[in-house]
Amino acid sequence: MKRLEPKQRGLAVLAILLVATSLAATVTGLVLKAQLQKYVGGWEDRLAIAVPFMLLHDNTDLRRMEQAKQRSQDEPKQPEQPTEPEKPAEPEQPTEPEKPQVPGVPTELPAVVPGAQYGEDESFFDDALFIGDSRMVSSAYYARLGKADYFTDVGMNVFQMFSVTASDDNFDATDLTTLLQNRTYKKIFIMLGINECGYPMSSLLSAYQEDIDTLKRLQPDATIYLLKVYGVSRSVAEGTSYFSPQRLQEINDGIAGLADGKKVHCLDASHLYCDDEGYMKEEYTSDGVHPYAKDAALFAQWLCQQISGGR
Amino acid sequence: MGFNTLPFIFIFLPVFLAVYYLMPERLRNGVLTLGSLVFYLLGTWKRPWCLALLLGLMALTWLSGRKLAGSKPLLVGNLLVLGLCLFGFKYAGLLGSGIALPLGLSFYSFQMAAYVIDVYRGRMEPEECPVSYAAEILMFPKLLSGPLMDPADLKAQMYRRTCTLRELDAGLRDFIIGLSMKVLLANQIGGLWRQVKTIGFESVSTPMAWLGLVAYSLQLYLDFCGYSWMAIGVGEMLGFRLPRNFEHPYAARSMRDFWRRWHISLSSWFRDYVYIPLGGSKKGEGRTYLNLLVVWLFTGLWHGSTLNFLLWGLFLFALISLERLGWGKVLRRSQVISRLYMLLVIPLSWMLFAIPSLKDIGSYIGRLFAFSGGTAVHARDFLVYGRQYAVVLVIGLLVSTSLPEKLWRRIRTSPLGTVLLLVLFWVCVYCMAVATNDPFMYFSF
Repeated sequence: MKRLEPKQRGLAVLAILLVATSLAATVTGLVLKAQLQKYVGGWEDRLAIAVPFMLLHDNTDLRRMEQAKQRSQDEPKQPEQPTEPEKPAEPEQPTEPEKPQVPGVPTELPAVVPGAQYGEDESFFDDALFIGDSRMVSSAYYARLGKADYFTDVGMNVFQMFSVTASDDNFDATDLTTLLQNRTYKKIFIMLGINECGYPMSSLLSAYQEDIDTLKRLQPDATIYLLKVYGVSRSVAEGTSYFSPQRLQEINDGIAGLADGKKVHCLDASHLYCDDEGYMKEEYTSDGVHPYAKDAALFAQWLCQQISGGR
Repeated sequence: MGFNTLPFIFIFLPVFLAVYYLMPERLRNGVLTLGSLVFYLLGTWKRPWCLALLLGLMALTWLSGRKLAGSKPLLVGNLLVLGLCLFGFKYAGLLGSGIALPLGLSFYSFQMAAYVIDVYRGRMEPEECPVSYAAEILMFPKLLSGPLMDPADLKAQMYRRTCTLRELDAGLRDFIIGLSMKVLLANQIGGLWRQVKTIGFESVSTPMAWLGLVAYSLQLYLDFCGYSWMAIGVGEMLGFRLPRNFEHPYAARSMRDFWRRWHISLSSWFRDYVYIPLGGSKKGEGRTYLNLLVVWLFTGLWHGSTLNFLLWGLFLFALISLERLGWGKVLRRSQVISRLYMLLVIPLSWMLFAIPSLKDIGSYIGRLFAFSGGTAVHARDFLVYGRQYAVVLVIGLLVSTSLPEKLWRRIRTSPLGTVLLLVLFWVCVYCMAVATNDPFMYFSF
């Protein structure tokens, strides 16, 4: 490049600022990435410069890293830090031997459940709370049940269920803890898991278990229903390995393991939208992940049938 | 690898620029060729045959070019091969072969066609140096989605271009503006159209159907205009002047005017290499309409292989014909009528462009005019999503006018402009880091 007159050197200001700030962001990212890789794991493929921004957007792993660091300080005798130090104990197994899973049939349900007819008598859900990601947002918009509350948000996951805020027709923007402290629910339905597919199973289930424990503490009388993650379309699954039916099956087995058959139950709605291989049928979706608005009613209808004993 | 990806911005571009600037001027075309090959390979590494196709066509047109002047059979042969490749791949996908369109084929085949036609016509001398020709075709700022360039101008720039700090600075500024249009506006506004598709075309309310089309219209413009500014910016950094591709098309007052402002380099290509050779408007009224029909059908087919693109081309032909027949005079006389007309026909034309299935187009028209095609599952959906997207929609509409550009010109190189660009750049990086990759829409065509 040709040398410029001194008065033209102002032309280099933007380039210099961009290079300097990029270097600063890269160095910060490298340091954070190394720490995260050591204490949390799963950050090896991230571009260093993206790391600070990803953490700014979602600090879940930063908090997990701090917790892991704290634990490592509390247990100084341990010779090496595992990559996933907070790895939980194996999920609690159901007390009864595992029965073969039949699509659409809940793994565990309360012995006595009142009836509910979608579009006719939905009063069963008047004291219900639905929690979930964008798939549950669709239910909140297009197929509400009774006078239930919907605490839903696009991108919600088990790691930040209690740290995000959401609003609904029935309440203004609030966080889940505040909502649970101010209202009483008898049933809580949770549909999460699709946004967390890329996380290590142990941390996913550990976080889910913590969420359930917190829900139990804040709403001791509520029955909690965990909804298994239903599949995505074949084209989406082929583009992203952690959306494969095998991976979702692993996650769903883990979710089923969180149910105790007493206060926590597990439901599986996969057959509503998916084929036998676990892929979402193309006729139900445009983006391969979310069912069309008109098909949200299928879920509501099915839920009514489930909780009223199959009627 | 798109311009709006972190690996391009923080790895490929800086490394390439460093090598390019350090090389003596005489070697820079070679560096550009090699860098562009790496760029293309990174985008097609799972399908290396795409690179083989590109190199094969390039070799064919370069070798033919040297003997092409005045040789009609050679010209026809070259155009046949290029046309067969382009339309063969476009329609192979439609026939369910599972073969995807090679990246950039629509653009580089047109660039090569322009070259062979101009050499045949004697408008330019054939390129003797294979490295320079390769650089002209492969040049990564314009390889995947244009802008298409005048081959003679491109050739001239290969041998004489200025590359100083002034060009680098100007290029960075244009690049960041384009990046912001793409990442901060097009990608965000695109969420609204995605939402319409997720809801299902037959299930949206009538206001939501219109809102969705407004969003799609803005997204398409901001996406492609943003891409074009980024291409121009990268070109400037390398010392090239790439042509401007958009001149505030949504400010147009007729469809003819619109297409003089939208994707200008493609419109110019069709004018220079299809419309005028067919006789343009100089062979009588009937022939003019026939030529227009050919151009618009060709434009439709170039954009895609599904029937909706044919319908889209026919729709534009019908509107432009009507304007030629006298409707254009009415539009020129009345600001109100012309604005209302464009407000109606622009979203409708993009609807035909956006929705591949004729059945879905039918459903959507039913929802737009509330006469059939389904029912709204959520009657207030437009309020829910309108509120959610109001800010980006308003900014997108504003950016589509000429006002922001006029204001920007005043502060472009001032300290305020520099700070603004720096902030915009890092906000874009934030959005790119936390979002999934959102490729440029024109990569599909």
